[in-house]
Amino acid sequence: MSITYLEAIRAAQERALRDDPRVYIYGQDIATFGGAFKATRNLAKEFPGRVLDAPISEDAMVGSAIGAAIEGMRPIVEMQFADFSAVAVNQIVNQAATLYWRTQVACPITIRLPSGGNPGSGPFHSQSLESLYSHFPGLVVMTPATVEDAYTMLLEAVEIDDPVIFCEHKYLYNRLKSDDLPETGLACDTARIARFGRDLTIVAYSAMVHESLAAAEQLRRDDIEVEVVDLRCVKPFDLDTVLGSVARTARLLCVGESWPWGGANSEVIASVVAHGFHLLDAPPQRINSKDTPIPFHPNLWSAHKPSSQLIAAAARRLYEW
Amino acid sequence: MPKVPIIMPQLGESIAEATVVRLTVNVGDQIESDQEVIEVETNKAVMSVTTPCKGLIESLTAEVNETYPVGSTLGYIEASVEDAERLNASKPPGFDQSPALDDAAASQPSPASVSQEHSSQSLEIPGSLDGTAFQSPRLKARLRELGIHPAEAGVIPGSGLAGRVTIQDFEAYLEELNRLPSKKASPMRLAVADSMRRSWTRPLATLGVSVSLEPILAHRKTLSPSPGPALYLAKAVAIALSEYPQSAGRLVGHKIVLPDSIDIGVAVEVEDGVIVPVFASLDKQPLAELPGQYKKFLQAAKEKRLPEEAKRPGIASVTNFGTLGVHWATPIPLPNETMIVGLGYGEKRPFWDEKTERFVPRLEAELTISFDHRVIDGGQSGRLVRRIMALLAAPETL
Repeated sequence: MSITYLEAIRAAQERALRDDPRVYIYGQDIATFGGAFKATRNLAKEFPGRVLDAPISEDAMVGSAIGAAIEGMRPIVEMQFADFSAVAVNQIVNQAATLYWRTQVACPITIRLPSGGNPGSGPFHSQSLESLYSHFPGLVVMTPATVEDAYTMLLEAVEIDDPVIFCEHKYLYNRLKSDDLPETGLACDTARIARFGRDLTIVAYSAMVHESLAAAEQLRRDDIEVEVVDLRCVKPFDLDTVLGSVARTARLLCVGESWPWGGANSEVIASVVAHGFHLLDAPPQRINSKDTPIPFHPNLWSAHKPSSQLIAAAARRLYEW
Repeated sequence: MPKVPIIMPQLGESIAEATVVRLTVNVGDQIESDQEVIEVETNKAVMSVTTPCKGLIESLTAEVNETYPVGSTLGYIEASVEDAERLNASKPPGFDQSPALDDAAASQPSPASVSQEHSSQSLEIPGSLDGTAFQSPRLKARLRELGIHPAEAGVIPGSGLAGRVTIQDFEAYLEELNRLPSKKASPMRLAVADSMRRSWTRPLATLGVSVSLEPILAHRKTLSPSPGPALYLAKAVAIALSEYPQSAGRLVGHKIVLPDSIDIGVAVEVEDGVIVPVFASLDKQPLAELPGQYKKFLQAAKEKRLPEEAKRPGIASVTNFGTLGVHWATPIPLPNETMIVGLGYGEKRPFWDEKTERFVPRLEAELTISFDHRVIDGGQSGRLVRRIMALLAAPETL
């Protein structure tokens, strides 16, 4: 049996619906149509009345989910594209994120954001918004990089009492496959060492974990052993594991697909510099997408986002520094 | 005809880019393999870029006075099909993807110039391109952890950018050291090492003169217990400095700080180091009382248990290196002192006696003064030495 990243997301939702009567899914075209990416294929048939088509208003979708959560439900909201969640930012950051802190009433909603670039998708269907949502206290922001994590972390997102922004990467949907789904996984705020190495630490998450692993393979030919840390969750993130890795390698390169200014990479680097300055033998570096809107043309898009080649070149410079 | 690029080669370790200074061929020229076609200059030397194969210069994209990173294309050669296949096959790996991703390679076109986007300028060594002086936070922390002074890391050959010492270089150096026999340095040794290192940050100068020891030897016999030459010297230095206190001033920032009491140290050799007990207000103490005090200090120094009053910082020290059979030395003053006065080995030498117009045997030794040249100069130290000589020639005045 082989299961894709996208199928793992569907399977997690199926299990959540089955295990917990408080769970329901709300999103545009997700019932009969099965969702823009088919992440809810057949779930409406299997769970009548619990997989609901929403009007084309992200604002209303999240707002009603918050209300349901207050009344004891555990809604999953599907955005068609992460980019469209910008319409619901008021509900997400002003209402959901602050609710518990204002009222001691939990807000256990999960908002699924199909994120990241695909060739030819352009500025409105490619964005990675993990850095944006990480800025707001009260939100948990997950960025799974593997089929297994897509499954167990989504289940955990539904269980967590805090609002969770679940950034699932579209590029991985059908390209990433695994043999089987696990029963349980690591807790979401624990990073995973995806590859051990002595010479340099790359901290990445989501699709960039795979680009970083490919870069590590390129560098292995020159006897440069790169350690790759998969953050899994960018907020909160597992500083201990990152510091432990930097203690071994003394060099840090952060890779993320969101934009450079004030992002997840910046936060990791700032924390490492503040808590582990004495561990660093070279200035920490980061690679993000270029600081421009995302281009349509596939060639431009390839040059716009971090690639394994760019990561390998940056890692080599850092290693030789 | 297929094209083969002329590439800016890796011209040496830590060289990331080079500036074109001259093109030695023209477009259309016939060239051989390994022919020098472009002269480039790095921060280290002028070198040549050579052709990878023979053929015709198809184009030269490099411009004189422009700087290009290693790996840049500087021009193209029209080459034979075989050469082109051979050379273009060994170009750097393309836009690789993780094997975990299915159709990634097909859907991701390769951007041509990503690998040339940065040069090492984006990762510059702070301060200057001379990396040998740079120490990373990790290296500094490691040095501190091991109690190694940063200057010690200067002996390690660096493999990093611009020759900086990386943490790996340092750990390799430590492993190399572990192969050699070693023992733990005593606290005394470490204290002396630290003191000398701190003192050595100043420009120190030494001058010396020959002095007669005859008057001292004659005078010692009149006292019981009789003081040694070092005590005569210490007392003479104390009196001279009480007359020229500015010579014992310390330079602190933009101030010369003068002493308020003439406290003189006398260096004593102990096991694995040197201890310098200090005689407080030595200019005011009678010479006859010094031997008793000195004996007490000596015993205490050997036990490394100096009384508190002998531990306070002095303004100058004397050292009798003559007891080691040494004629001349350039001792280093303590970090808080501006000078140290030394006395060499006493021996009979011929001395021209103006009165009898004959050489007569005379017991002489070399008197040295090593001083912080920021505070005093040759003239001042010379006058001080002559005054000390005069006092030693008239020991009854001490």
